[in-house]
This record gives sequence, C-alpha cells and structure tokens, in this order.
Amino acid sequence: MNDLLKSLNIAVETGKRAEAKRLTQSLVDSGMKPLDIVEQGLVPGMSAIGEKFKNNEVFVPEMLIAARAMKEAMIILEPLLAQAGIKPKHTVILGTVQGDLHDIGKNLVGMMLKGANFGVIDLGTNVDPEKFPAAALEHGAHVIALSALLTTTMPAMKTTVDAIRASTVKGIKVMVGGAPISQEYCDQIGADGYSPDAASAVDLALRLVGETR
Amino acid sequence: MNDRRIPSPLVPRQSGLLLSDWLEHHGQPLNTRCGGRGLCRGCLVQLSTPAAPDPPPQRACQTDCATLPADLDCIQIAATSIRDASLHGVTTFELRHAGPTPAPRPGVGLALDIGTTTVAGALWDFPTGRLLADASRPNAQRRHGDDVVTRITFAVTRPDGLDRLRHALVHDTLAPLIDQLLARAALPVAAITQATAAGNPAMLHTLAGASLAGLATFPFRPVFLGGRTVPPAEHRLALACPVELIPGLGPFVGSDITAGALATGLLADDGPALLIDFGTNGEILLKHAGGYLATATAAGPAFEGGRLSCGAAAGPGVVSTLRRENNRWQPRLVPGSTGPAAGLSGAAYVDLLALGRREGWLNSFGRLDPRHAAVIRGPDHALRIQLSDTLFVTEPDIAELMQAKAAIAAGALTLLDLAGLRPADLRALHVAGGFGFHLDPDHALAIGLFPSVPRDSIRLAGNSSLGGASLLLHRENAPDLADLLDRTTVVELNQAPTFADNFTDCLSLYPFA
Ligand code: B12
Repeated sequence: MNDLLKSLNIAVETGKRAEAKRLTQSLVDSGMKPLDIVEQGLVPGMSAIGEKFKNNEVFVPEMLIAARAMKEAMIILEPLLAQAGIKPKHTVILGTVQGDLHDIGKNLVGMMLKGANFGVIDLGTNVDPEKFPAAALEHGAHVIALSALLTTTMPAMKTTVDAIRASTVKGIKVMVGGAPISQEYCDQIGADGYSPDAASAVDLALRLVGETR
Repeated sequence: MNDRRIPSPLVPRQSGLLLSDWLEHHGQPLNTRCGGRGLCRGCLVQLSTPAAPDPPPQRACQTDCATLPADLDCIQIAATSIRDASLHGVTTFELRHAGPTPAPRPGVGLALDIGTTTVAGALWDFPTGRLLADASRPNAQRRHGDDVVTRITFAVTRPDGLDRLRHALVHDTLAPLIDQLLARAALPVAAITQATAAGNPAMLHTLAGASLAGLATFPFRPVFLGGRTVPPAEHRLALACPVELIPGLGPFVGSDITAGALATGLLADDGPALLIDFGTNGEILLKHAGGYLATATAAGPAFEGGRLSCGAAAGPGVVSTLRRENNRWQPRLVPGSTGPAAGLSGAAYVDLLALGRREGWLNSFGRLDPRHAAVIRGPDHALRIQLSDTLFVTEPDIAELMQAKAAIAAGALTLLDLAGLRPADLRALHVAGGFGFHLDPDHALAIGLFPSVPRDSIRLAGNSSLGGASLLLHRENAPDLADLLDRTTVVELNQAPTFADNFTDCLSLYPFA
C-alpha cells in the first residue's frame, strides 16, 4: 500500500497521467478510503511540485502536467468522496469573470487547491457576477477566487467584487489572479488577496481562511 | 545595448504632466506598451540625484512631473525602455496565386497591410502590372499598447481613446507610408486611383473610425467583418479614391489571413495545407477536404521580440541567426546591417532553443543545465545563456517563448484534430510574416514550432497579407475570395475540447507529433 502511495505521489509530481490513473484505481480496488488516497497519495505530490515552483525549480509546464495527472486521479475519486459524504473543511468558489473564456490558469489554481484539500466548486468561464455570491451561499463557501486574463475583462472583476459585497453573503474572502492582475489592482477593487501563480494561490487561500502552513 | 542619459533639470515640475508624455514630446518616446497603465516594465527610468546616482528604476508612465526630485541630475533610460524606432516590416512577398491575369487598365493601385506591429504598402502600375514601390514602417499605435487588446482597452476606457488610436494609425503611420511610396515612385497622390487594405478587425475598425467596444469582451461583436468601402470623406487620408477593406473571418482572424490565403496559393494546394501567421495574434488557416478552418491563438509578441530581456523585432542591428561553433556563439545580424548587436529576433531565439536541445544544455521543459559550460549564473544569480557582453537569455525568457510556441502549435493541432487530420497529412505549410523570414525551418521543426512536415513542403511566404491586398486590387480575383469566405468555419479555441490538452503537451520542446 505504502509503495503504491509513494508511486502515486511520484506519478503526480512528474505528471504521468496514465500512471496516476492506474495507481489510483489500484488503491481504490485495494479498499483504501478515497479521502486517504487524496491526503496521502495526491496532496504530497501536489505540494512538492508547488514548493519546487516557489523555489524556481520548476515552471508552468511541469505544473500543468502534474495538474493533469492529478485530474485523472480526481475523476475516479470525486464521485467516491461525494458518495461517502465527505466534505472538505473549506470550500472555494472558482471562476473566470464575465466576457473572458481563458481557463487554463484557473483550472491549474483549482487543481492546486484540491491538492491542498480544499473543496472547489468551479463555475467555469464567462461567469455572470451574481452567480458567484449565489454559489457561495448554496455551498457555504469560505472563499471566492476570480480569474481574468484580458485587460478588457478586468472591469468585470471589479463588477463581480461589487456584486459579492452587495449580496447577502457576509464575511466571505475574495481572491483574484490572472496574468494582467496585480496587487495594486486587487487593492483598488477591494478584493482580499492576490497571488501571481497557482502555487502561492494555495498559501493565499489558507491565509484567507485563517490557516497557515 | 546602452542606456541613455537625459540631463534633465529641464523638465517642468508640472502636476498632471506624466514623465512618459513629456519624454515623448521631447523626442525620447518610451516603450509604453501596456498603454501607460503601469503594468509592464517598458518605461522604466532612473531618476538620479547627487545623493542617489543609481536609484531603483520606476515607471515613467506613473511618474507625475511635479513629484520629480528637486536636485534631479539626469534621467537614465534603460535600453529596454527606448522605443524601437528601427522596426522594419517585411515588404517582400511571392504571388503564387493561380488566378486569371488581370486585364491592363489605366491607373495606379495602392495595397496596404495594416499589421499590429508594422504596416506595409505597395504601389502598382495597372497598365504594365509592374510594382512601382514598396515600403514599411512601425505602427505608431504601439505607443498605446503592443497587442490589440491593450489598444482596445485604451480605445474604450478613454473618451478620446478611439480618436487617438485613429490619429496614430492614419496621420502618424499610413500618411507617411503613402508619402514614402509616392516619393519612391515619383508620383503625386492624385495618381492613386484605387486602394485596398488588409488587417485584423481592430486595425480596420480604427481606420474606419468604427467603435472597438464590440471587440473588447466575449461575445465579440465587431461593427463589421465583411468588406467595407471607406469613402475619401471618412478615411482621413489624402487619397481621392476610397479604401476597400478586405473582408476578414472572425473578430480576431483578420483579412491579413484571407489575403494571405490568396497570395500563398493555398487555395490551389493539392491536399491539406496550413497557413500560419506568426504575428501577435497567431492566426492559422487549415485547408482540408471539407473546406477551411480558421482561428487565432493569441501567441503574444514573443516571436516579435516582445517581453523578452533582449528581444527585438528583426531589423537593422538585430541578431537574425544564431550558430555555435567550437562552443562559441556566432550571432549574425540582419543582412545589410552592422554595429553592436542591439537585440535578438524571434528567429534567433528559435535557433537558441534548438541548439540547446541538440547540445543537451536545455531540457524539454525549458530548464537550463548548470553543469554545462554554456550556462552561467547572471548578476541576479539566476541561470542564463550569455551570448555577448550585452545579450543574454534567461529561463523566464524561455518560458515566455514556450507559451507563445505552445499557443500556436496547439492551435494548429486543434484545427487538425477537428478536421480529423495528423501533421503528417499536410502537403504544404505556408509561413507568413516577418518572423518566418529569417527562420531556420529545421530549428522550428526541432522544437515543435512547426508541425512535422517534410522540409520541402515548407514555404516562407513573406508578407502574404500585402501580396493578397495587391491581388485584390483586381476584380478578377474577387470570386476566389468569395469562395474562401463561403467555405471557412471560424473556430473559437476556447470551445474546442482538445485545445487545453494540446497546449499542455506543446509546452515542451519536442517536435510536433
Ligand atoms: C492560451 C491562450 C489563449 C487560449 C485560451 C484557452 C483556454 N481554454 O484558456 C485561446 C487561444 C483560446 C485564447 C483566446 C484569446 N486570447 Co489568449 N492567450 C493565451 C496565452 C497564450 C496563454 C494563457 C495561459 O493559459 N497560460 C498558462 C496559464 C497556466 O497561465 P495563466 O493563465 O497566466 O495563469 C497563472 C496565473 O496568472 C495565476 N492565475 C490565473 N488565474 C488565477 C486566479 C486566481 C484566483 C489566482 C490567485 C491566480 C490565478 O495562476 C496561474 C498558474 O500559475 C496568453 C499569453 C500569455 N503569455 O499569457 C494569451 C492572452 C492572454 N490572450 C490574449 C488575447 C488577446 C486573446 C483573444 C482576445 C484573442 C484571440 N486570439 O482570439 C482571445 C479571447 C477569448 C476570450 N474571450 O477569452 C492576450 C490578452 C492581451 C490583453 N492585453 O489582455 C494574451 C496576453 C496574448 C497577447 N499578448 O496577445 N488565448
């Protein structure tokens, strides 16, 4: 079992998606609990790659293939987690703002958050401002994460923050990111946090929910 | 590349006056490529005082002249902040179109290619069918942003934005280009009897003075996509004839690609063929059995030298080819130029990536191997390749190039997927634009920038947009254009299920499967 978990960690970290899928299935078949597979098989691999990214040892390509391998594993595990009624401690509502269809970076952020054991509700791309607070209410979320890749859709990020603040969801934290976004812009639109990449997005989310690593 | 020092007790300490604007009006325009929004590092300057001769750089576009230090000694402009005035677009093209020969008639025709980075024009003598002159110059709109979307932002967020963009294009770019062409042909402006223009919708909208608001966010709704005739009263050029705007295909797939399809002869290619334009927008057209598929991949300006430490558009004084002999770098400048190398062109970066893979100091993820002699640590302690005293390439540069490469390669692969084809099925690959011109096709194949096609099916087409605009001065070619427009489907890559996966696969430096 331990060997399988270790191999799964390596498969995720090095982005071997067929391996990741096969190993996850074997672990499920061997009777291991899905939550344990996530915590011991996926989280260490994703946090290792996140650490390496922060230390400048790997770049976006390696992150993307690791996320893709993790996704294969999650396709098997997510229905089982839902069946078992497992709810992660913290939930993040994630989406790309209205008018914008870019989602590769957003999906990577989502995978890293899942890899740190957050529940992630992904609303997809081109999401209306009002959908974010509505989803936060429905899922009892703690954080809303917004992505924008176009300078022309940055204003939609502001509209979304305004819609969240005007809604009945209180005390929710909003984090923002995407290539044209900066800390200055985050402050300007009244969001609670910005991070430039998917690895530091995890630290930011943890900080926003009051946990540190 | 040397920094420039401006002794500047002269700058008025006027509040509301931006340092970048003052410099621009005093002959020192900066690379304000984010449109002056304080997002890029193109206008970094150092404000030296006797007490602090080497202060941290700051953005001139965010510096109010009223806040300048009282004892300002000089303004130091970093080499990377000096606006590239030597940009040269490609004006050469080959006309492979197999259409009917146009009948001789009186008059002179003007063909224009309005690119985001450079514009080019050609003057034709109708009675003889002879090319009278060609010329190109940088698009002055670049001061409002180096990609279309930044310019669209500029146009929609400022009350006078569209007008300023239009002025930059018409008054500061096209008017001098036309003057230059007329001077070369020794003709008065009244001689021009007909004009055509190819370009992406944002460029053609600014020329026509049409609102860019519909191009700002999804769902994109351009004011017009099909052709449009702009009468003399509206185009603001000195021409007495209207300008015919060639129809485009989609909001970001412009008529440069429709025109290019005509000029390269792709329409008549036997079997599947691909046309790739390596501009900022990375437009691609695939010819397949059922018709045509077109898309834009948003590669960004990396292959034109944008956002890279030592990147430059191919022009005089810029390295166009890189070789290594006996472990020594052999940079070659754009033919016909001399002097210290001022920067690296996209083609030189492709050479570097391919050589790095071949010699083993660059891995497939774009990481440099510190154990190799070619790789050193820079003053910032990060790994880099040092080509000369002033030219170097960093890992972040390589990452930027790989994203641009991945966007184009994944776009091409996705169109092939949709048509049920593999790269090996392609009979021809037409490479349009200035970037292709200096490129070593073997290197482009080795790093997976080009789909793996046999070497002799690669055609470097030059400025096929200008070629196509020239062809479309003749009504005889209109039916081919109409047929192309009719049979083309525009693909929105965000909605193509395989794009994201292809993008991830193509973010490595392997040949294109
Ligand atoms: C791939 C790509 C596309 C793909 C998108 C596919 C998809 N499903 O997402 C396609 C080809 C479809 C596309 C389309 C367009 N694109 Co595009 N695209 C890119 C490209 C090349 C890479 C983006 C990417 O995915 N990078 C990889 C990921 C991993 O990085 P990332 O997105 O930056 O995300 C990281 C961080 O930003 C951060 N992050 C992201 N989101 C969030 C959220 C939170 C909460 C946090 C904390 C962090 C965070 O973490 C991520 C991981 O580290 C960029 C160029 C570039 N260099 O960025 C242009 C670029 C973004 N596109 C651009 C343009 C213009 C367009 C189009 C308008 C034009 C066109 N060609 O049709 C359309 C618009 C479609 C639309 N309505 O959205 C421009 C935008 C220019 C501007 N000034 O805004 C760019 C910058 C290229 C350029 N310079 O011209 N594009």
